[in-house]
Amino acid sequence: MSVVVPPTPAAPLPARSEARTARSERLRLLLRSPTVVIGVIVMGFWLFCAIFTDLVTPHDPIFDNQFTPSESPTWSHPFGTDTNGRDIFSRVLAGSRNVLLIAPAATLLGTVLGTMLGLVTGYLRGVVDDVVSRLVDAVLSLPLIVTAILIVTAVGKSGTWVVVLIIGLIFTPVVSRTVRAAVLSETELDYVQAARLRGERAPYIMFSEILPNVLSPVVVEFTVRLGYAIFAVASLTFIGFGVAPPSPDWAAQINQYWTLIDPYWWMTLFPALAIASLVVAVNLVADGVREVYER
Amino acid sequence: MTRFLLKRLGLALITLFLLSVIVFAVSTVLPGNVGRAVLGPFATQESVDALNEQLGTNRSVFVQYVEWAGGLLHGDLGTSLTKQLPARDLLGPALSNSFKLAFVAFLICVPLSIVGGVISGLRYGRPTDKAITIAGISFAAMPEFVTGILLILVFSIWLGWLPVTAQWEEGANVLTQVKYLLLPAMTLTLVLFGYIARITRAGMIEALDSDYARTAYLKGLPSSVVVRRHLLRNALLPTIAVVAVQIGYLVGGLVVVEVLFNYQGIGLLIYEAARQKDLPLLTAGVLVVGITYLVVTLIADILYALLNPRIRFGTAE
Amino acid sequence: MSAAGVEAALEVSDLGVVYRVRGVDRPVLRGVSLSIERGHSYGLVGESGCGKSTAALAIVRYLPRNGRVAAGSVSVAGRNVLGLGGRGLRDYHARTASMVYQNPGAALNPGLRVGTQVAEAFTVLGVARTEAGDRARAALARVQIADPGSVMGRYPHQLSGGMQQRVVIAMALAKDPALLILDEPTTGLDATVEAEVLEIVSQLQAELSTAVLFISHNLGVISKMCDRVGVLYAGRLVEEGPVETVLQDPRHPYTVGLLRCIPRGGVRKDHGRLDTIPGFLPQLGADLPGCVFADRCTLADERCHAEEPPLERLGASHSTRCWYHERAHELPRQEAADIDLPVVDRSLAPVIEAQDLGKVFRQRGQDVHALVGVTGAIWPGETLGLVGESGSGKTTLARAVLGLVEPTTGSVVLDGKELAPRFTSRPRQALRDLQVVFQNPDSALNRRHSVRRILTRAMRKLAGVTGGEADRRVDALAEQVRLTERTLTQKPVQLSGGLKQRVAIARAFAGNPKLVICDEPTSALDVSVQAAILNLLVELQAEKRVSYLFISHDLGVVRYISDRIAVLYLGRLQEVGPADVVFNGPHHPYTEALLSAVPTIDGGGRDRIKLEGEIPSAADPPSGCVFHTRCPRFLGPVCVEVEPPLVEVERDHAMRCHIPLEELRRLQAAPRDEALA
Repeated sequence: MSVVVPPTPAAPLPARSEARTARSERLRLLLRSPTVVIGVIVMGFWLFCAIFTDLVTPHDPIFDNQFTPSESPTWSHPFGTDTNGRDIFSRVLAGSRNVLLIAPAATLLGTVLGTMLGLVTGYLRGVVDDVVSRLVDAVLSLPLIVTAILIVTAVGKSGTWVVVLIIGLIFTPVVSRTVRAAVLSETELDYVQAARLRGERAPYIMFSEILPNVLSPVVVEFTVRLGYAIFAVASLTFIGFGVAPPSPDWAAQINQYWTLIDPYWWMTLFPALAIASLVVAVNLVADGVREVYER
Repeated sequence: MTRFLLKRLGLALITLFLLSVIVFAVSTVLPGNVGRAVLGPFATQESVDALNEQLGTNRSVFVQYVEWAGGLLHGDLGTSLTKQLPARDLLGPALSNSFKLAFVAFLICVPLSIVGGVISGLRYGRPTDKAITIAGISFAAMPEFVTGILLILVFSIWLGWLPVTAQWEEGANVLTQVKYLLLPAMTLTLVLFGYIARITRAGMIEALDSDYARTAYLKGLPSSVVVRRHLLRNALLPTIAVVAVQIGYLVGGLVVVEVLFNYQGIGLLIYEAARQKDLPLLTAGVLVVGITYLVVTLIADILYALLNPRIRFGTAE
Repeated sequence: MSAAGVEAALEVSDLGVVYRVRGVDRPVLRGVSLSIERGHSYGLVGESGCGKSTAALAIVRYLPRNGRVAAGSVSVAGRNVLGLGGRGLRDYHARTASMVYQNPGAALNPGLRVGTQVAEAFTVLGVARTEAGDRARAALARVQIADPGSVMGRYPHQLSGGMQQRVVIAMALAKDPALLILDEPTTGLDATVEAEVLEIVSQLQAELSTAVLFISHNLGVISKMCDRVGVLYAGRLVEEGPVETVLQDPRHPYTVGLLRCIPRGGVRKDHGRLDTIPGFLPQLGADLPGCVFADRCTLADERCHAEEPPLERLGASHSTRCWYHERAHELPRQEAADIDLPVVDRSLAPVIEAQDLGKVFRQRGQDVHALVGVTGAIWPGETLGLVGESGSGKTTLARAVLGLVEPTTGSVVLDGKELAPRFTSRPRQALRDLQVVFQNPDSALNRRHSVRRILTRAMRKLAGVTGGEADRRVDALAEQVRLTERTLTQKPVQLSGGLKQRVAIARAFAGNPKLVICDEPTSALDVSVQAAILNLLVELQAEKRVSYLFISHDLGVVRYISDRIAVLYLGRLQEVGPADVVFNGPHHPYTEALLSAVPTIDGGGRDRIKLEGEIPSAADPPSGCVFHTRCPRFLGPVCVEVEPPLVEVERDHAMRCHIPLEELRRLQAAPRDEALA
């Protein structure tokens, strides 16, 4: 027997749709945080550049030898030009495309698969859970980059969808672990017991009873993973296991020019700052989301 | 306690076994034809067959695994294709180099982030906390090569204080070595600061909010004693687990930093093995990274148990 | 208010506390004044959310960050507490005021040994370390800890809840404080443990002449422990006076209503409905220009809503804040009509039978005997109350009947048919017939589903109806449990605890069950809400002839609702019989001790039978009669060697004791001191 102390508020809340209220309340809280607003603006900027590349780039980002090669920043080329005579400013503006395609796709894949896996293992427990948990442990004992290098080498090729698949699959156990923990604490609750006692089947309990209650950690996990996916995609590209140049990509540009950092620092600095701005923006938003959802 | 240790050890062994299976599966089964994967599409069928014969990769998967795993148990990690040396002889020095870098990074990072996290937690919600948190998030979010390049630009190229690479001359003394290690270590520190500080901060806030903090405060103890004797002890416990995970990362996730600073550690070795399609060396390297991680987290778990009376004297796990 | 010449240990005057929520100050305490003389104890009662704990925290200056004292003053032993800063405040905490709160497990630092923590209370006073250790040992001995030396070397999690609370009390009294605040110190502890802790407190209070502010929602505890009592409602002290006066002659409608909600004095479901208080507590910081209770008071008129009544003196030390206090007794009853309950016909077949039900859990390599050979039955329309302390196996029994745990031995028979041990292998009809109402409605209802969705789904699975028919039946069901149309569209978070429990009850009744297991269904609720829920359960029983297995630690509630009562101890049934017989005796010595431990408003429980030691572990139960280690009427070797069988000692009344019934009758009729001397 455990004796529960009376909970505090006794008065009923006003009759509004609770879901809507909670959602708008969260949005209000999110937008009240200056760091979240800045993050959203920066993310929006890069998304805009990725979609409307042709509109925002002053020069063609791909064709070689348009200008004097290796020119340091000037008014006409604020970020300078690269060794192939291209405008770095245009290439930086065009460089968000890859990462903004791969990272969200990989995160979505990892989140969806991870949520399913977490629901199943957390609800069914038993042997399935034990086996999967040990597998998850094993996969997580390797850093993402190392696993990705091994897989790319074994498969023998890389590319957009290979990277999406690799990162998505590596995220799956991470997400599943978070979701599983949330599911475990949900299954302790009596409503799950009540559902079982009226003869509900496992799929109904998992997806209709439990899933709606673990969406908060899923949302948090998605935003946090998104930041990490950008991190991973950029790192893989930088060491040459991601997407190959000449398609403009920040990390690929750095991969190409960082050995020339002395004296051609601008070829590396500006793409680096661009990556920094995007990952920081995503993580500021993720942190805001976490604060609001985990209260 | 003994029960806990045995259980934990058993789990670690099972995980280790599964890790070996996964690594083996990815490196041997995934390519389909290992010889072809190594030599590329333009090699003749004869040379591919010859390589498969040499590597034994033309036999059944099960036999290959048993032989490979048996080798592992005897300390045989396979032979590098490109260097024609036992992988163990290559991995040993690389691993110790990586540990050296990790150690320096650790010495800078752990005290700094714990202090940062404690201050942040004590000043919860105030500007100091906000500043530390945002700085932590920002640096943690940036890929190591971005942070590293920014540090190189500032400290090596513009200020000229520190070397661009971490490649010191043969026989350099410890001080010189540290000077070379400083930039990569700082890069790692910046990345890790956010993670460790965040957990410390969360532990601190939870401890501040607890009933036992209230008890201690209402006993009339000065705040400094409450923090030191009552809060830190409980707040820092979860930090240990995180620090352990991060050491695992430090040793294994060094790939990018070691490539950037051209440092002869295990990360660079893995990178080069992958570039040269030296699958046996790559496989061995990946496995060593995984084992290192498992060992470090196991040690951390034991440490955590020793420091946590709830586990030490039995009821909880 | 203090008598002339006696310095008040605590003097609170006109205290106002506000919490800042979303940029707005919301009053939580409104002009509270009270004073306690040295050596006296003052009880502060009220339902959850009335501001009791806030008052305590304001007095010890530990309000949450968003809280602040907006008005008034607090002085303890002549010192103005609100003006203290830094060093002065530390000194105040170290020497003058102490506080003990609920959940002692959390109040102790999990990472430090008990001895270190207790010694700290002395070192802070400047006592040298070695001496502090000795004094800590003495302090622990003072709270009747038998082996202080070994307890000092342990960590808090290695002690039971009762021991932990003693340690906390030892620390609080270490400095011989002028003021000791106890905030629900025994809530969550078993009745026998509670009784022990309370006894220690009153003994030490007498020795030390400390002033005690005792905060509790339990009027019985207050009546046992305090000289004076203050009734708090929505942050206002609405009535204050000597305990006997206030409880016997309440002069505020809220106090009157509160007292009527409590099942006591042998009131039973068949001849007395419980009264309830209509409406809800005002929201935190609501604007209340008139009397704070006006919205829920059936005596209130325009004046009550517009003008705040002053605190009026009635005689020497009794005062109330009501315009019509002389009419408070006339407060109209909410639930007057008696109800026709079904007559239980025990010659028919029972609804459910447990046959030799046993359950052994395997924990840490030990066999824990949670349930041992439980045999019993419940007849149609009957309520069987199940009582016992924590770990007695009440919940395991309920779960075994439901099929949530698989019994190790024995079986459950429903309507003459043996059920599969696991609910998953039971026929659908059995699931419909056996339903459950859980303790905590927050946990029992899916917070993402609307009430209508919850009930419709239950209707579909338990009654097998869908579509328009299901809608119609849900509406009818909602009406039966008094849920409004609006409630059906809401989600659980928008509902009060009482409404949530109604939803949970409605869900259990969707398929017209034959037996509903009520596992502490009212312990998470305030008394006024509890009364309404008990009434509802009784109404449903009258209407549908449903049977209940009613589990509760509150003996008053169990007595009110049960036809028969079963007493469990260490997984074994000790006594089963009609409610009145079990309560009035002669009863099993364990039942006797349990009953005597409960403090009642009417002054019972003052001469309590003390139980020695702690409840033995179910992993290693005592030999012979499992109760012999603590039995106040221990006979001799036979109790240690032979486990007495459960035998019918008189009609319908079974007991597991070596002492013959007549002997028990004689022993228990005698005045207690004499019998135990």
